[in-house]
Amino acid sequence: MSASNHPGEPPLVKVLATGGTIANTPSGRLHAGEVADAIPELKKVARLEVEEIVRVASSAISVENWLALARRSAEVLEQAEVKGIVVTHGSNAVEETAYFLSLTVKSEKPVVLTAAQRQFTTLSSDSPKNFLQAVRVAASDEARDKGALVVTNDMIHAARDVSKNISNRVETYNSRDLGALGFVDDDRVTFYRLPVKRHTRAAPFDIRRLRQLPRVDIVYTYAGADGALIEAAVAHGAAGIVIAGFPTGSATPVMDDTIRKVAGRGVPVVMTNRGGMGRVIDKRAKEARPLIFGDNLTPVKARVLLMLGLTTTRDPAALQEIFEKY
Amino acid sequence: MRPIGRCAALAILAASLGAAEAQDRLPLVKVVATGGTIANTPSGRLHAGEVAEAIPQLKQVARLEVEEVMRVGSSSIKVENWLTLARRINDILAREPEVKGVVVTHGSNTVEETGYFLSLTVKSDKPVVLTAAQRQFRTLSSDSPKNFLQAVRVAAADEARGKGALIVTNDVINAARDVTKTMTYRLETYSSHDLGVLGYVDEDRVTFYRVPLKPHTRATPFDVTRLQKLPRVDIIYTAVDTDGALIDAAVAHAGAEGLVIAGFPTGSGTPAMDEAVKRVAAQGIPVVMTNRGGVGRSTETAARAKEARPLIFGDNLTPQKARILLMLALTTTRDPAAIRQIFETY
Repeated sequence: MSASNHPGEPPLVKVLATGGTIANTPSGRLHAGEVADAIPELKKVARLEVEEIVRVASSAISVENWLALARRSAEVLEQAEVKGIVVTHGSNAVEETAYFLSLTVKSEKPVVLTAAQRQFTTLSSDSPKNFLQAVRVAASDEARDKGALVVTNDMIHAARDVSKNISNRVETYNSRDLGALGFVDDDRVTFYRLPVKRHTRAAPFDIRRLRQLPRVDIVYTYAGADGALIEAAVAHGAAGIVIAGFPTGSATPVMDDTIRKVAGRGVPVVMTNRGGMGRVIDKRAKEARPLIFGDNLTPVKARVLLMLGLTTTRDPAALQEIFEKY
Repeated sequence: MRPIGRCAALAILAASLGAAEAQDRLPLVKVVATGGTIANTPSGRLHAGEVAEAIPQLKQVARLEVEEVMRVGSSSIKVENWLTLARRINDILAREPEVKGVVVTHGSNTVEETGYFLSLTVKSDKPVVLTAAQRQFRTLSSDSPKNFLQAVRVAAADEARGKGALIVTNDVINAARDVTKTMTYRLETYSSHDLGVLGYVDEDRVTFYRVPLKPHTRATPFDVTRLQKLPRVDIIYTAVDTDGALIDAAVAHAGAEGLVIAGFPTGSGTPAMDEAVKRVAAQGIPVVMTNRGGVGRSTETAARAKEARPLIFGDNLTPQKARILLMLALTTTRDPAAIRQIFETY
């Protein structure tokens, strides 16, 4: 544990703000520092330093923002006094940013992302409590070395497994059948589960010198879908494709043909389940489809892993191994 | 073995005659088969009639007539197949008054899509029940025979009338509009998320607890009797930093007449996608916004209403369900206001 230079004072937690509903009001977006100042409970659980990386809705987050955020997180966590980081974020894409950080931040210290469904200062807003609970988790010893965490609605989710399901309600985040890692109650932070898949320091991805990531497009599967969007994605420079496939891990026969074509040109194609639960495996092994199977990752998480995987290799076997580990 | 005495033989004869009469009095259920895991084995696909023959319990609950419309995995189902299936079911339910209900055996991957399509295009109050399986027939602990039986029981039930197409698997009844296959391979894969099931299929009886409110079957304006195909609608997925390339390509190169965005959960694309949506909407292509997370209604938010995004909001439909409704809507209108109304209704 990092030693505090301020004995008797609460731990230092750094807030890296990116915008989102949690710092938004009907009259416009706030600096996260203003939000923090309006939540007096925060001062009882941590000393906060708030720094704004970007101030946007999560629909406007870019890959460049991810790279900047990961680099800044790594720098901040090297400061011995910092106990953990909270990233305030828009609700829509927090699961993507979180998994990206979980794969790229090389520290055991807690990296906790949070978001809100109801704007700050609106009726029954979940913003202040989510902010507080995220800071409490980031300040806790128990949150160390579990990969990035997403804390909302009094629950702690693993970045890899959580997704936003419900359009607007406060219980929107769900890790489906893998469940939450723990709870944030009034008395304490309690963990019940440890994620087994590798993350942070055990991941091989080094983004320090990267300015961009390889383009990966997601193509959705539905009855009668053809290969037009797969072709279009590759024509627009996609270096890899993620198929949001039928749940058992397949596309339509016409998509299969297109996948063979683009895989033959060296574009890796990852198969995932559009339904979002359970591992995708090769049930049609004798056809030797040129697919990488995306484990139980949702399409958006598989895209993050493929973009990072492609910074280390283009070999399908090596990519398959990456998809089995992270 | 002792020879059977005369009395015992008569008793058996009487019992079998009684059984035959009882069978005659059972409701007639038509099975319209399309293939899928439920009629597949490690050595190849079976005719659904062979599957039915191998489930003796079926004869105790209905008289079955099995006809095969196609025999494919559900990843191979096409819009043309939907049109054929809807026409055939309409035909059966219009011309064969004795038929109590229809069971459609189907592959598991797209049964939710076919189910919603039939729910919007079959013009009858009689039950149309789709079923599927996760484990091939004759493999260990296969769910195929029980799902088949439970679907037939629901199709034969008075209570199943007037509820739109139903999906019956794993002893529960889901509404076609709301159900989705969530898990890759497990038996409890079908979920209507927070709307829940309509009812249960237990050993003693079929019990309904909910009726779907959205209009369906006879209450929809969609007539596929004379259609050979449907307008093309593509689904575009949203992720961080997605640009408009696939939106433009779907319209310009693939000939999409409408688009569905599998959007961020609160109902948005990225700013670059928003620009592309504006471009194609200005060309008269309707664009429907849905939630990639699959739960809850997509609506215009107060914060973004002033932007006047040219979107139709897809209610709580999943992207693939919104695509079906948009394809059918486009057979009746291209007016965004009218399509918006359709999305609020069905």
